[in-house]
Amino acid sequence: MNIIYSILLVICIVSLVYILLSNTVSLVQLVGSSVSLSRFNRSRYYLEHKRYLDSENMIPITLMVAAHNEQKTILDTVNNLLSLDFPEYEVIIINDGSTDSTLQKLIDKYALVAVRQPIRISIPTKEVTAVYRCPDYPNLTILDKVQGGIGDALNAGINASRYPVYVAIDADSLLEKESLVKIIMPFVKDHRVVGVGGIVRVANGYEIVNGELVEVGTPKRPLINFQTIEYLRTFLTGSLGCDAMGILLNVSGAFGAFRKKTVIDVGGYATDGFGVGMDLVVKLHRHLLEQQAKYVIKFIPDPVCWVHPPKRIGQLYRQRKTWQTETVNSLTKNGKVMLNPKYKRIGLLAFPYYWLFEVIGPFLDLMGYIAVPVCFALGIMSLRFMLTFFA
Amino acid sequence: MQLTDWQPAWFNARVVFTYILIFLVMMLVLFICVLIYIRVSAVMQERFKHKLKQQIYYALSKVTDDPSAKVAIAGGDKVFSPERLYILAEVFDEIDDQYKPALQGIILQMGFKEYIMKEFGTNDMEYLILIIRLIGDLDLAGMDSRVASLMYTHRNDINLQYQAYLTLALLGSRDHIVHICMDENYVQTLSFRSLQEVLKAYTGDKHDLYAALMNSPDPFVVRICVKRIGAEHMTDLAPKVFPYLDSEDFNTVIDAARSLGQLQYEPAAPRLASLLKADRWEVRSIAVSALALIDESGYENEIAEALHDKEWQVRYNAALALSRSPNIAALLEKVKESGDRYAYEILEYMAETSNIWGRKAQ
Repeated sequence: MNIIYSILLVICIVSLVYILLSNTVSLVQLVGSSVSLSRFNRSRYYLEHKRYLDSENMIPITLMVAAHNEQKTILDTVNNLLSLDFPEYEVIIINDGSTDSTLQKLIDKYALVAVRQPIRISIPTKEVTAVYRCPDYPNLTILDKVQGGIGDALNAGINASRYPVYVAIDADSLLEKESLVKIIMPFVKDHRVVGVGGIVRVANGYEIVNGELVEVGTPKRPLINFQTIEYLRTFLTGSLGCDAMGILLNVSGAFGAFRKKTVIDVGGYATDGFGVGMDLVVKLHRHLLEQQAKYVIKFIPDPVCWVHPPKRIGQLYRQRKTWQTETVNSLTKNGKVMLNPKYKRIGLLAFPYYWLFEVIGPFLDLMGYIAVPVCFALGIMSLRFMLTFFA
Repeated sequence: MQLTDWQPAWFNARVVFTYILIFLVMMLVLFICVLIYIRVSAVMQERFKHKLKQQIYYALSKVTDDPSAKVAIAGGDKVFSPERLYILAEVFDEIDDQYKPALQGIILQMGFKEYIMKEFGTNDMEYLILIIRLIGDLDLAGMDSRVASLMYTHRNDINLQYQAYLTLALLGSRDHIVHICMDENYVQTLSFRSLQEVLKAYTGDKHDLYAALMNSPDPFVVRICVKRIGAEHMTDLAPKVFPYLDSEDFNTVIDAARSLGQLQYEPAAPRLASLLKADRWEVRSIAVSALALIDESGYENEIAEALHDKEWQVRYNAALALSRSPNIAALLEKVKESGDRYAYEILEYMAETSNIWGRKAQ
């Protein structure tokens, strides 16, 4: 019995230490992100992008959407993407082996024509069986391919894209009218930029018409409310804080812009089903640090992408399991980066941070939440300790 | 088993945890106070901004109705302050161009120039950049020297460099721009596109500016001028661009080829045709496009030959160039007979899509 009590006590103490450490780091991130946000807010008064809206000096971009069985939302998404304020861009929809009527809906709506478009294979992918173009929207391309997963679909989109920068978004996402120009401006202003993440927000409760937010509200469901707050916290303190510290390892797969050539150099997205966010960014960091190249990967809080998060616990569980698996996969695949001075802040700060607070941390939290009340109930821990823990 | 059974003798759990608890409660109280402060500040700031904007728009309407009217924006002791300048910048972005001269007049008669002279020494970089921006927006001639000196003082701040360059361009400050671009010790930090955009905004004589900047020792500046000459269709400067087709830097060759194609400079055609055999695929691909713009029919054979290039982008550009040829059917037949599947596929695709949209949309 003493052994069990000892183990419980050790768990409690370790959890308390972890929580104190985690909160301290969160506080540092909060301060860092507050300063960044304040500077960013003031920079809006002079970093005008409107000048570039009609300019040939704006970088043309490719918008890529991988779609698998998205018949309910695909038309709204494409409609939204074709109406953005941007001088020159193309939209590539990759139909990744859908078994529903995703492709047929697109063909019917946009009167698509099959063309024999040769595609340059920069990254190997599963076979692209057909390419469709739209007579009314020359900048719309639909690729129909054998199912290979989201990473494989995006790689196919990269192969087919014409422009030097691409933006990958989810099939059920909505972009604001100025989101594209805002996310591209860092690439225009600084040739070292290879990746930029924008902010992802929960659309439920908001009214968005033609890419413009017309009414602000809150979601009705508690689960979605919780996710709304979590997204805001994650992006405005987590991502912004990591960006301020130079340890940004994750650009959301729902809304991220990348320089195509650099992504091709690292072999594109992983095709194991887990590689559309963190995995790519970690690969970029590793490759560019090994090349000793000067580069920037950043997060900016202004360009917004609206998403519809999972409404049910089961869906939420699957989503978070995928994200967590991706995190662990990325960190383990690139194990040599960990605590390696060659990789500078990424190896010495970012990797330990993610291991401790993103991978191991949730378990320590959970164990603490269970062990502390149990210890208190068993009389082996004081009320003060428990209050300190939960405070 | 209890916590006290294993802890060291000097460790007084009660005291430690009490202190931690007190600390956490204090932090919570502090956090709540900070939240309240932020909220109250935000509300007061919003009211101040609204009030000031109303005053500005009122003053603007008076001056617009009666240009000789002398009106001021009330401010008590501080007519200008950092908060007011940010609001002014916002108003500048909101109003139509036709009202900007009136707003400029109001601000200048209130002593804006004298105010910002005192603010140049500020350590607040965002504020300094805003001041530089307003100098350009308000067309404050005579302040370009100060702006140029700030570029030398803050060489590593990309945002300041960009805004200062833009302001000098808006002021038409030829001498300062040329001086900076000709200075061998001055390393350009702006991106290619940013500097192009700045020069595009130049309000003075661009022919004269580009002609001067093409003598810069910095190949980056020369390339930008070469590119701008083509983009802005300055055909009189085409002879100055032509020699750069023989530059040692392949990027300069590319920009020169592109510009000469845009300018449709015929004397460049033979040289461009010879560049179809260049070592670098980037040069070959742009030479194909440029040659097609100058004389597609006259060099059809050479462009058709580029369809068989080993590099995808060269084949693509050649096919794009040939897609509107009246001889497209004969060309397709000829390429098919050559047995080059890749050349045939790309040309067939271009012919197919040019029937749908024409050349522009491909």
